[in-house]
This record gives sequence, C-alpha cells and structure tokens, in this order.
Amino acid sequence: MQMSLSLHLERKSNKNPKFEGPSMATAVEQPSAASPGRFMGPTDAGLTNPAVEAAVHTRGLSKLYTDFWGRPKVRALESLDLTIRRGEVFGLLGPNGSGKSTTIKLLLGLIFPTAGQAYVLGERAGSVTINQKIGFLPEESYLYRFLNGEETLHFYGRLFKIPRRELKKRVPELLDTVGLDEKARKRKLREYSKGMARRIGLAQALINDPELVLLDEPTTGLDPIGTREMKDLIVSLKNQGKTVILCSHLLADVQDVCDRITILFRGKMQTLGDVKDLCQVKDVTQIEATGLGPLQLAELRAFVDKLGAKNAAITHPTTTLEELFVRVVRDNTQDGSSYTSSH
Amino acid sequence: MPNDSATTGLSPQQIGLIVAGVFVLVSLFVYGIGDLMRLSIGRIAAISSVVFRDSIRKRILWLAPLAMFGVVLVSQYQRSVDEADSIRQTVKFCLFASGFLVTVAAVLLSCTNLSRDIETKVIFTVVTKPTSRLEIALGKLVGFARVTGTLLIMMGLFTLLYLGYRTIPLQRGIEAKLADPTLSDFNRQWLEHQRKEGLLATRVIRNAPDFQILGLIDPAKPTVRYMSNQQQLWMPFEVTPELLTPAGIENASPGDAGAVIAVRLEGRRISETEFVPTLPDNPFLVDPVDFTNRFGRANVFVNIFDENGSSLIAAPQINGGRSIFVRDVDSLEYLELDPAAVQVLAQVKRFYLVLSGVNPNFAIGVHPQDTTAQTAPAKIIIPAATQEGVRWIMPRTDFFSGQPDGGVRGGDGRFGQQLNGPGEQLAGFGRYRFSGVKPNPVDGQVPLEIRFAVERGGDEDQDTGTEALVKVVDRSTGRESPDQRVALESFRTTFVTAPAEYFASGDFDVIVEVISADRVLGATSLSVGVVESRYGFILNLFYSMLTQWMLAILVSIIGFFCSTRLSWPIAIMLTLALITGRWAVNQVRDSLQPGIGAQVAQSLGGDYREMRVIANTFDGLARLLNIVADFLPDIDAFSTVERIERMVAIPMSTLTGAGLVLLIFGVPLFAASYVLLRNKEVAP
Ligand SMILES: Nc1ncnc2c1ncn2[C@@H]1O[C@H](COP(=O)(O)OP(=O)(O)OP(=O)(O)O)[C@@H](O)[C@H]1O
Ligand SMILES: [Mg+2]
Repeated sequence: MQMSLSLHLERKSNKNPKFEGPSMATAVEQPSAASPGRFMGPTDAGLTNPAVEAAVHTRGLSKLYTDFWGRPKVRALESLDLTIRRGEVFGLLGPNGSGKSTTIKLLLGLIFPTAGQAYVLGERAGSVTINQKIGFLPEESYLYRFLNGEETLHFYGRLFKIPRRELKKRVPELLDTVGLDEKARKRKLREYSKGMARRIGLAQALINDPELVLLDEPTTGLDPIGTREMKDLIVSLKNQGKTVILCSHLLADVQDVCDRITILFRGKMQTLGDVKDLCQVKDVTQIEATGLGPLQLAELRAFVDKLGAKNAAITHPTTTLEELFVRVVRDNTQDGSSYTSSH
Repeated sequence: MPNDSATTGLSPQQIGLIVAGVFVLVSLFVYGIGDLMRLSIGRIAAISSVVFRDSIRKRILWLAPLAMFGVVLVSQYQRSVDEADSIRQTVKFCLFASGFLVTVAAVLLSCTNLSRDIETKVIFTVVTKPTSRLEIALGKLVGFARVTGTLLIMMGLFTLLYLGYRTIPLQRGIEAKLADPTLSDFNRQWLEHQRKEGLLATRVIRNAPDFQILGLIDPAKPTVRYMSNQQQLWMPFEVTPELLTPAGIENASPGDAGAVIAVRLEGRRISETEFVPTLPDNPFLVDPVDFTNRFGRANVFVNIFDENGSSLIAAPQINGGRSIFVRDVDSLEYLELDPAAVQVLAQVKRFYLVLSGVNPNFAIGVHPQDTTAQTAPAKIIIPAATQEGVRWIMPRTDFFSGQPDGGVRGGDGRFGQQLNGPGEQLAGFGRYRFSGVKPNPVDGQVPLEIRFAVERGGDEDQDTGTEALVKVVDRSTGRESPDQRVALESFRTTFVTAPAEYFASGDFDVIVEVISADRVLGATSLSVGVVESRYGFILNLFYSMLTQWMLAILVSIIGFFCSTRLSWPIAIMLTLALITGRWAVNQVRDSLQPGIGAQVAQSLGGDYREMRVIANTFDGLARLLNIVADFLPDIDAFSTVERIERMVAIPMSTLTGAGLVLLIFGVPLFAASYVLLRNKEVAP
C-alpha cells in the first residue's frame, strides 16, 4: 500500500504570501526571479520594442463607461500596462465585473479607450487589417441565429475572403474539431444548446487559422468532456506557436494551461506573473514521504526534527490558483464592500 | 435693374450641395481612403446575403403576396366608369401597393437591422473580422436593396399578370357596348379609341409650356394677347424697397411720394350689345361712369395680387377705386398708387399687376413683345425730387418670354382657369403653345388628348353634351387645321387627331373653343396633350418600379443613417420625418411665401418701421422653414403613379430626376453613416 503524506508547516500566520526572506526550513531555494503577490513585474516582458514585438501591448489603457449625456458611469479599466509575448497562453482573471471583457473589447476595437494605447500584433488595436490574424470567441456566442452551423462558418469565411473551395474543406474539419456532428451542422443556431453554441462560436474564431486567439470564458456551458477538449485545444494551439488570451473563472483549468496570468480587480491589475511562480508559497515548507505506517506517524514530529525520513522530498508547496485568487480579492475588500460592486 | 437676387452669390441649396460634396470627398477619400482601397465585393456580398436571409426568415417577402391579395380584394369592390377606368384603377392599386410595401419594408429593415445586430451583439463577431465599417454599411444597404428589389420584382410580375387577366373580360365588354346603337357620341369616340389602342397602350404626352386663355385671337396680330371681360392680364413685377423710394429726398421711405402706374393697351370692340355697367364684386370700386355711347367703353380695373392670387392692395388705394378707360389702339393710361400701397409693395417685393376688363363689348390687347420703357404694356413710375431721379420699373423679364407666370388667364375656377363658352359674352380661347415638339404621326395623324373639368353647365340637363372646337395652328406658316368638333365630359379624356402637316415645324398652337352655350371649363396647362410617341406598358411599368426602387434605396440610406446613433423606434420616426418633411412643408408652402410677413404686418398695422420689423421677422421664419425643407429630399421626384395610371409614358427625365435626388441626398448621408459608424462603439 502506497501512502502519501503532505504536511504543511506554516512558520507564522500570514495570509499575505509576500516574500519574507529565507525560510527556516528551506532546503532547496527556488531560483525564480519573480515573486508572488502584489508585484507588478516587468510589464515589457523583457522585450525591447514591445509595441511591435509583443502579441499584445498596452500602456495606461483605461476605459470609463459614460451614459448618453457623457456623464461617467463606470470606471471599468484603469491604466492597464500589459505585455503578452507571442506564443504564450495568457490568463486574464478577476471576479465578475473586474474588466476582463472590457480589456478584450478594447483590444479588438469594439470599444475605444478613454486613455492609453493598445497594440495588437504590432498594430494599433481596432485596425481592420490586423483582424485578419485574430480569432475571437466572445463571452457568449453572438451569431446570426437564423443561419445553420455550416452557413455560419461560410459567412465568416467569406469575410476573410477564404476561397470557396478552401472553405468547403475547412468548414467540415473545423466542425469536427469542435465536435459538432452532421446533424447539428444543418440545424439553425436558434435551436442550438448552450454548449453547441459555444462550440460553433469557437469554430468561428478559428476559421482563419488565427495567430492570436482571444477566448472570453470559453468553457462556460461546456460539458466536462467539452471542457477537457477545450483545454487540449488550447494546448495544441500553443504548440502551433499561437498566442492565446484566456478569460476564465475555472482556475484549475487556467492553472493547467496558462503560462502567465494577471488578476484584475475593479479595473486595476493586481497580480501579474508566471503561473508556476505565483503558485509557490515561499514561507512554507512541504515534506512528502511514502512508506510511513500508522506507528511511524506518531513519531512524525521526531522525524521532522531529526530529518530522518526515508525518500523525503522537501519543496515549497504550491497553492492552488484558486487560493491566490481568493486572497487577492479578499485583500482588496477589507472595507467590507461587495467584491463585485463597482466603485 | 429691378432684380436683387442677381447680387447674392450662391443660393443656400448650392452652398449645401458644395458642403455635401466636400464632405463626401473628405469622408470617403481622405478619412476613409484605407477602407475604400481594401473594399471587397466578396465581403459586401456576404453581409448583404445575411441581410437578405434575415428578411426571408422574418417573412418580409410574404408581405408581397399579402399586398397582392389586398389589391385583388380592393379591385373587386372598385367602381369604375368604364373599362379603361377600371384598368386605370387597377394599375393605381397595384402601384400604390408596391410603393407602399417597398417603402415600409425599407424603413423597417434599415432602421432595425443594425440596431438588432448591436443588441444581439452579432456585430462583435462581424467587426472583429477584417470587415471595415464601410463594407458593413455598403453590405447592409446592398442587402436592403436586394430585399426591396425582390419585393418589386414580385409586385411587378403580379401587376402584369393581373392586368393581363383583367383586360380580357374588359376588352369583351367594349365590343359588346360598341354594338349598342344608342351609344352616346362621347362614349363611341372613346370606346373605339380603346378598341384600337388596347387598354394598356402607353404614350408619351407633351404638354404646352405656354398656356393662356385669350378673349380673342386675331391671326393678323399673332403676338398680341387679347383678353375680354372673362379674363385677366397678369404682369409679374419684382421690386426692392430702394427702387420704390423717391430719389433726391432725405430720409425718404418707400412710397413717400406714392407711385404712378402706366399701362399701354389696345381697346378693340368685339361685339355690340347694350352695355349695362356691372362692377366686379368689390365694395370699394367706384361706378364706371363716363359713357360715350350705349356700348360702353373699354373699362379696365387694376389690381395688385401676390403670387397666390390674393389681393394685396385695397381698391381705393389704386386710382381711388376707379377704372381706367382704354381709349384707342395704342393708348397710354395712368393710375395713381397710394403711398400706403407702395409701402406694402416694398415689403412683398414680388407681386402681379392684374388688369381685368369689365365691358364684354371690348377685347383689351397687350403687346408683350414691346419691351422698351416707352412701349412696355405696363410700368411703375416712382416720382423723385428731380426729373432725372424718376424711376421706371418694368415687368419681370419672364413676362415677355411668354412664360405661364404672366399673361392672360381665365378667371379663377374650382379646377383651374375658366374657359367660357358663348353666352352674354363671346367664347374664350384656350391657347396651348408648343415649341420644338415633333410628334410621331400615326397614319398621317397626330393624336391629341383633351381632358377638361366641366365646371358649369348652362342648364342642368345632362343630355346636352359639352362640345368644343379644336384646331391646330402651325406658327411657322400660320396655316390652321380644320376645326374638329369634340364631345367633352368632365375629367374624362377625349381623343382627337389632327393631320400631321400642321405639326411638322414643331412650333404650333392648339386652340380650344367651347361652342356649347353657357358652359365653363376648368382648364390647366395639362388639359391638352399631344401624343408624341407610344411604347409598351411593360417598359413603363419597369420604369415605375425602378423609381420606386430608387426611393426605397434612398429611404434605406436615411433609415440606416438614423439607426447608427438612435434606437430603432426613434430612428423610424426620424426617417419618416425626413422623408415626408419637404412634402409637409410643401403642403403649407402657400402660406410661407415671402409675402406672409407683409400680410401679417399689414393686419397688425403700425408705422412703416414697425411693420418692417414684423414683416421681416415673419418672412425670416417662413424662409427658414422653406430652407430646411429645401435640404430634405423631394419624394415627389419619385412619384410615377399618376403618370402610369393615365397610361402616360414615364419620361427619362423622371428617372434621371429621381436618380439625382438619390445621388444628392443618398451619397452624403451614406458618407455620414460611414463616419458615424466608424466612430461608434459597437458594444452596447
Ligand atoms: N456598456 C457598458 N456600460 C456601462 N458599464 C459597463 C458596460 N460594459 C461593462 N460595464 C461595466 O464595466 C465593468 C467591467 O465589466 P466587464 O464586462 O469587463 O467585466 P468582466 O471582468 O468581463 O466580468 P465577468 O466575469 O462577469 O464577465 C463592470 O462594472 C460593468 O458593469
Ligand atoms: Mg466578461
């Protein structure tokens, strides 16, 4: 019988995982430069000319929603500085109403920033030409409901001026990829279930074999298998060298597929960094061991003190992204206000 | 000299046109040059197909069968005088239905389509593809045009089939009626024409630009216009306050010294009946006395009217309400004009001097070709401090060129100018003067179409028809065609022909004289038409559909423009307002003439300066409304129903006119929609 034990020893109670100097029990120090927590990191991602080289680059990007008379209503995004490298899978996280979709809409030119600039694949956000290389899956599948699956893809394919013959080949392939069967393809989108609509939405985003894919909550409405397939797809996109920007509330999935993430809260960036780094807790030591029977358990303290365990692996434990997320949000709502309420 | 509009450079419309042109150039070729360069037919086609699919899904095309059903239903209950009338009504229903249908469809589609795309956020997935806003705007409009075009094709085919189906029994009905020996003259004339031409025959009709009702025509003096006591002579004037101000007097106001009107007329005795002086119905006129014999003399009253024919000056202010007596062939008569009257003229600026005769024994002749100051038929003389300062104001130049604006008119009737038959006075002559019209003869004859209102019969006995003589005078030779006797019925077309030789020069007069006693016709310039040529009904229908399509496209552009920034209910309302605005102002335009200020001022009273302020304010408001209306599209340019209903060929000019309106209003509005759309955040 294989037995596994994880033991977390918190040296002191500190809900803020800010770097606190060398930990007492550290046997192996992680050689990471980035520290977790409220660290704004090098926003240029090490690029000399990020506006051109990066997949996405924003400077002071802000959006203030106004009402009909131009009076300010909601400050949805405040001075966002963000650089996303080409070829990475980037997670855009944050609670409801934190400005994720707003950021994506700004990057696509669906809305215009009140301040700041955004560059996408080296061009000003919203330029028509750059859309040639972009695939976008909106929060919900906003498609013509009176077309069927195939017609939908043909329509979007024509917008990319993909030749008819090429489309004839690509459309069934894509429909296979997103898992819509023969019957579903011929049905009007109006009759689609939520998950099916999501799938055709994804197919529409991939019709042009895009370089940059923006997925706004791609897994909502998908069944577990669909969610799994979505994850696989994102990984395969990454392997093809594409850049993926992902908004999601399923943090376990984000943790699995994303290279880097940022957490937005009330329109402000709270955290930015590598998923690996962010999920390390440096002031905690974790000992993993196998082969310990019930008797040995009683002597665990002694083992720890004497460092006599067999096959002991001593690392910094990783938290889940979920814990990090909750922490970031909780830290910012100490005033007791609702965390989704705007400001 | 009396023309002050020459000094102002460009009219507001011209300025508007230039601004619109520059705007189009800048917005499409500077601001939108990028989008213009990468315009893709494929994308426009894709977007328009989706619009089309959407309308099919919304069953918009089902409106066509619905409209057809309505037409069939309504024509079951139509009441028609005869076969041709029945066909006419059917054509009218069909065209009205298709025009209504297609305009409503255009308004609904164009106002709701974009807002719905934005509401359902489908626009997200469209604008994030390489589709420019220019392509979206164009694609949508092409889509609307496809839908309305399809509707029109359906309605057009239906119209043809339905008319074809309806003519068969009607044609048979004509044969049956013609076999009846008790048929009236008018009806036989008419039915035979119908049998010969077919019920759907379409022709090109020309009307006379110069139409006058004369009291006498003297072939020896072809240029003189004669009026009798049944007609009036209208002479247009245009003045400025400066022109009416006496020269050489300090701080003088217009009319300070009054004015003198000089008229040069020819009085000519045309009959000899005992003259019992009666006065026109005006309590201020003074009894015409001073008879030298029992036939009376050529009494003439002078009035001053505004452009709508309402009197501007009270009778006592013109020559003290007295008539003048035209003495001989070439007499110069003078009338005094009160200072107060001159002040009114200074406000109005455009007015007519209207001369009316009183004595049926005399024709009064004017020589409008005499254009010099010495010989002009009328002039207004403004006194001055010195002999040199005296001004002579001549009639507006278009009076001399024989335009319909001035000249001899029949009395005001309910349906146009009155053309009277013989009675206590001699019959009048309707003279329709054609220039440069060369009709294609059929079997050596040129068909004429005559359609008057019969205003008054001498007795109420319907059995005695109204008859007239029609002849054609070739002006190049002076030769007259033999008189044709024709039977007339109110508002029904009579077909006559005249030998082609009299039309050969292209310059001819058609002269209509009523011979039935005590009958009065209501005549307009459209009452006499010359059939220039004829062609197929199908082509005519096609032209009509084409203009309806152009209107639908214009409406779509307006609707789309409104919907870029407004919610669809408001967009629909605004679109309707923009389409009908000009038409609505036209309905009240009569009361928005420049004269309105003077009328208001006069009714309120006050001294000259106060009146001027009031008059200017009202004139300004009226002008503003007129200008606003002038900047709205003229939907009358798209109206063909009346023509096609009368089986009159729709001239090319209607098509080009409609196209021009579409161009002038559509292109700038389209450019504006593009600019608005490009600056629009499509996320709601
Ligand atoms: N059109 C709009 N007008 C006004 N406020 C808006 C508009 N769109 C979004 N907002 C506000 O901007 C803020 C950010 O919205 P956004 O949609 O970007 O949130 P999100 O992070 O995508 O949230 P979720 O996780 O729920 O999708 C919210 O407070 C929202 O109410
Ligand atoms: Mg969102």
